[in-house]
Amino acid sequence: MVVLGCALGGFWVSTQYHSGNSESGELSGPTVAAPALRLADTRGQYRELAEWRGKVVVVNFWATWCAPCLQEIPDFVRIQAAYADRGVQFVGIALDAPDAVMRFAQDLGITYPILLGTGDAIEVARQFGNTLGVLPYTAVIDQQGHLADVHAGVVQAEDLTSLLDDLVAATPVSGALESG
Amino acid sequence: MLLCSLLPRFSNAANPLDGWLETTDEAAIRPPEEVFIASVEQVTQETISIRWHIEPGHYLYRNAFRFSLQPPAVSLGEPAYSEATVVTDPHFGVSEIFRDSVRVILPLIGEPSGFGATLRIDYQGCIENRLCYPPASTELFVTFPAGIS
Repeated sequence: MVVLGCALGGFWVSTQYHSGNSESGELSGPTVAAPALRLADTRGQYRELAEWRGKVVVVNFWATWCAPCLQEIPDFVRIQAAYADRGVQFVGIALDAPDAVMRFAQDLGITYPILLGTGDAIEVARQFGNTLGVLPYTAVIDQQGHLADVHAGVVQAEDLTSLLDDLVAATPVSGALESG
Repeated sequence: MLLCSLLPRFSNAANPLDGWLETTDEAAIRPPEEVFIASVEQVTQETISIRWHIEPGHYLYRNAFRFSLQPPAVSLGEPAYSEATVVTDPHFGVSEIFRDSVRVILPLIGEPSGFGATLRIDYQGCIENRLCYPPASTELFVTFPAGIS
């Protein structure tokens, strides 16, 4: 059994992985499916989490008025670049006005998709376990679409990369990925 | 890395993730009403005085405060605040925040109608270097001094 870890300064709430095929070393995923979501991106195109199925998806809820959110995003941009070829896809969900989101996304150099979490965004966050609606809030979804971890508060980059290393190692990425 | 071995509790919850946050014993995140606590300190013929208690490690943004009375028994003037801490953020520039406590004096413009009203306060705060709460509001009942209603 592999237990994925907690981050210092906040906490990861982990699901537990159970050994599956012992010969291949493949781990079966956790049993909690990530909530489905359908939100518009900054170009007005509706996007769904399902389009990134087969990848490890890091969903980050943030807002432009949230200083801790802005603090961690540069790490996410760097990690996205480093892990893109290993089947990791970041998706930001901004709980904010679209014009402010686009301005900050440009300033922060965000290269991954940003979805606009206007309207019922707090409810969307709640579906990911964020009962208090705090920001930032990050959920990691494995290749099978199961929630691997959720984290309230600033993520420590080394903890996230450690988790991503475990997840991308758990399932071979070849042949299972689409471009993001 | 600190490891946790927390099993989610979701057997009876409508949302299977409800309760995940409550399962941890590490640095629990308390709801905003438990860490930002407002109370009416004094009401005179001219002002309403509000005092906020702010739990250690938390802060409130000055520019996020909004005040309104329901029913609108009297108009409220521009609030006056106790001294704020000025912080500079690379993204926001200069902001004013309150740690530990803040006193707010709300001027009353005119004479109140009725003996009291509900004061709604919108606010927004964060935990230092960790996370921010979404905008929230609280309500306090304000009793106007006899003789001015």
